[in-house]
Amino acid sequence: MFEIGVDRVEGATVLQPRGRLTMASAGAFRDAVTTALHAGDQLVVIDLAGLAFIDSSGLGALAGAQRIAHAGDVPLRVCGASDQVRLAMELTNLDDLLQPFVTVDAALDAR
Amino acid sequence: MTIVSADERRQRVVDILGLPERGSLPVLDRIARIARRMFDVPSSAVTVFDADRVFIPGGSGDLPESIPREHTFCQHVLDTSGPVTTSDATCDPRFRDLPAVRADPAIRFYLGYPLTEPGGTVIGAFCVFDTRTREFDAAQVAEFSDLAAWAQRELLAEAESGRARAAQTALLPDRPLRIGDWSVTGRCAAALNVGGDYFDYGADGHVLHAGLADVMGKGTAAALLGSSVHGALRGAIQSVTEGMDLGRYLQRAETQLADELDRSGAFVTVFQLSADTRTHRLRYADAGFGLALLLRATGERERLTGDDPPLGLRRRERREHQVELLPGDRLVCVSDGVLDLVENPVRWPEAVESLVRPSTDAEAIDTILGLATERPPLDDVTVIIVQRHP
Repeated sequence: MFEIGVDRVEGATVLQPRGRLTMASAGAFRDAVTTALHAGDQLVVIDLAGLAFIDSSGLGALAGAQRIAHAGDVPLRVCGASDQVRLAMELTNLDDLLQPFVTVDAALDAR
Repeated sequence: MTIVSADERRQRVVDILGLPERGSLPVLDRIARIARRMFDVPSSAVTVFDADRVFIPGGSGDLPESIPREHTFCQHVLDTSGPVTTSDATCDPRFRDLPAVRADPAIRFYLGYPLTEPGGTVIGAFCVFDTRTREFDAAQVAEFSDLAAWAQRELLAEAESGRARAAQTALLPDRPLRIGDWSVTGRCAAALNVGGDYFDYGADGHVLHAGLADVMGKGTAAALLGSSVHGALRGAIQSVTEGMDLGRYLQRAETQLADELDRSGAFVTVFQLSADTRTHRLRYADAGFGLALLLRATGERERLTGDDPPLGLRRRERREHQVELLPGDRLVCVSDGVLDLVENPVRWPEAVESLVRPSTDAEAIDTILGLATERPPLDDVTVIIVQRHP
């Protein structure tokens, strides 16, 4: 079960994926992030607080999103990771790439 | 060991199948179309239970994408594990309060067959609906159950054919290796879908090597990438036993795979080691794998990791690390499928240590893979143990 909420805050798009980010949902996630990155905002924030679970495909999608963001020169920040999501990022050394923030506000304020 | 509820087991199986949550599978649409025509009903659907919803990976007629589970006729196949039917739902206490029955026109007739995975868990239903009251005769019921069996086969087919393809490409080592007072033991429990764990070990003279890799991303693209990863890692292994720096070894594999990794947008995590069984020095490199532990005979536990990211993410220099193994020390490396089997994934080092320390290498691997038969794994589960015997 997976869905993505989209919110706009002060010129930034905040994506809120909810449920399980796995191989079944990674495609939908990638599409939503790509759309957001091309929408012309100054910043895209992915709030992971609603994610119950992430697997390696989901992590791959997150890392891929960061790569697309780098290429397009739009900052992308992630925040709100649960213990399981944070563990998955740490084990794969993706925390170094993704530099997760604790809250949405922290991610927005870091501008 | 955790007791798994029927709902949890069902959810895991549904996750493993990796069905699209939007849109439908053409072959299931076709079966539903046939049912609609054969039985002259306005709609037919294949439904799958997913948490508190039921989604519809195939159907014909006017159907929503998904429905809350408590609003469905199909929830009742879970109770009976057999076919469920009503000739007039408006006066059947099981169904009369459902929104579709209170609607105008009301659904009156329902026939649903459970769809089960090979382990016997009901994951969904194949069903027909009508706004008229209906009664199927025995021949129609038999025809309908044939269609249900077909739908079940197709629902499971994609996952199974993926698995078969992966099995063909995987040439995994199948017995423990012993050199001097060192040994390597490893095994993989394959998930129903294409998990794509790769592991290998072997020796050249007195130097042994072992490695574990995981493609981050699943499905056909990952399965195809898996065999290239296998080729790139195994192809250069002789240079490793001859002394090639493991950081360079990973960089070389990354260069070789660069085009394919770029094209598929996938990443690969790798843990690779090589040990000289005379000097007892063990070299290793980690590209985002992060799941290796050194269990010292003295009772200490160390995590063997680096800070290098998965292959395909960012090209950069990769580092080799070294450690000396003393008699009785063991190195355990598990794939991320194991995280899904332990009670608290954040405390996986403690969990793995408590399973491995009191047992022999072979017993420990049996126990860890045994967890995977208790809970259907979402991902391949692989364990490698390297030991310098006392």
